[in-house]
Amino acid sequence: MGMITGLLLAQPSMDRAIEDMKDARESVAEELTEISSTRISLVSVNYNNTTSVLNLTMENDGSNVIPLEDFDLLLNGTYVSGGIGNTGYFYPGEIHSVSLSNVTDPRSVKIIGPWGISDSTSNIGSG
Amino acid sequence: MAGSSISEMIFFIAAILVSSAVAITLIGVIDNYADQISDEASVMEGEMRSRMTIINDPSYVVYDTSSSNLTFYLKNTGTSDLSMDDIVVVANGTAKAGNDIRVTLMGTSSVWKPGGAVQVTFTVPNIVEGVDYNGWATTSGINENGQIRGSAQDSIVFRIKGV
Repeated sequence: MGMITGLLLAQPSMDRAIEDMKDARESVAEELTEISSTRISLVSVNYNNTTSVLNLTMENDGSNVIPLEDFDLLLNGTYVSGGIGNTGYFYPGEIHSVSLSNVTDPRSVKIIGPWGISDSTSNIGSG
Repeated sequence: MAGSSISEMIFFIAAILVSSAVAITLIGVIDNYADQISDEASVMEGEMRSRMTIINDPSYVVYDTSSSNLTFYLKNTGTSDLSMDDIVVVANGTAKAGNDIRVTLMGTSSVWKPGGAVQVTFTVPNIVEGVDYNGWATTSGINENGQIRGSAQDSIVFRIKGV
């Protein structure tokens, strides 16, 4: 009788704890799915020496829609404030182009998206 | 007859007392166990929500050769705010924190929100181009009530580019 009463009275707190653990595990699983389905790549980076404009072309080759404001950009290892300077969304399969003006001697470009997923290149073409 | 009733009553009361004691003990044990599971879930959630990535270009980490200042860029890649006060950075075995680092939040927000980045500049003597170095950074997560919950850390193998 004592065991049955004890088990009945303790059941709600046990249920709550198990629910907490289940929620935490589900959140982890959801985030891992999001991370694994997010991919971005730099398709091309070209620099016009005459106009000092750097043109980046990037592709969302994952399956997640990414807000453009979530991107960060490093040029020659230095953070470019404003990132890729856009609002809106970057849809899967879409190509997005960015032009940076007043750039001198670009040697390395890195884009960083959500979860820290990134792509970089030091292969910068001309034109 | 009366004596039998009294002894039955005593046995009944004893049985009630024993079963109550068992019930109370069980409730205590199960409650403790439930609290432990809840705490573990909370820690797990805190650790999961607090994440940070060193987003530097590993082959091109900016190093000011005149001041020996190295710059790390840290992005909040989790889902909770991160502490800018608790940042600890390490490069080439030199650890810096507190007043020994300069932390600048990139963007317009006043707190280090998810998706936001900070620039951390700190002095690391005697590092040169063309050599691989190990870097590491850590900080605390902050929950909705402004309390510390979980921690975030990341590491990087990098080469500097002197400026």
